[in-house]
Amino acid sequence: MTETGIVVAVVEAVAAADGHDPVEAEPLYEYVNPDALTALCKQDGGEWSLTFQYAGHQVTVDHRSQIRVDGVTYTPDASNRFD
Amino acid sequence: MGDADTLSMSLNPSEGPDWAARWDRLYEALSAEPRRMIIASLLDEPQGRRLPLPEAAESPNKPQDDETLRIELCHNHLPLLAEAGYVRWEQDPFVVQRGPRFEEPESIMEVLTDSLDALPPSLINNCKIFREQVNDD
Repeated sequence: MTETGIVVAVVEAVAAADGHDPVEAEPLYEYVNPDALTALCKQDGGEWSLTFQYAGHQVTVDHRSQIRVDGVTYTPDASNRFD
Repeated sequence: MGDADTLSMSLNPSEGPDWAARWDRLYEALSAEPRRMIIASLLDEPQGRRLPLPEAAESPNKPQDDETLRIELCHNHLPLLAEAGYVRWEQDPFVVQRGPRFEEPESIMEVLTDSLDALPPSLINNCKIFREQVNDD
């Protein structure tokens, strides 16, 4: 996971659910603090999950950086893979 | 806060010290390399001149995939910088220019680059941005 990898992953997960271009989706910044989300995902140790609303979806991120959109686990495929 | 009576009115936190919030905002804005790069790129540009993105945010220290950088810019860095008033940006064409409060980050970046000799090596060794600015002078 790169410094802001989780931001890209969340945006891509919701864009995939909507069939949108990730760049044109509503700014994540308007829904959750992306720096805070990134900092949380960089923390070692502890178990947590964070649920927030983004662009009409319920997004959950956990300590393994696993992402669920409206309860469905997001699995990036090769074409929208993130590092 | 029980000692508030002993403070002069000008130090009363309840009056909302705007400068403190501005300093916090400034450090927050400068706490990510793409945001520092955007500010640094705009230092040489006059008010109103638009720079192409993502090029203006690309760091020589940390090459990044264009699409990844683009998503991070649109969903985090640019909205944050614009909310602080430091920049204005557009998606199509993808460009950035100085915002109404650009002088805040501008002043700090100029103080920093004017004082590179005073900075400890741990903050500047192998930093390609500072090296470029030294070479420019």
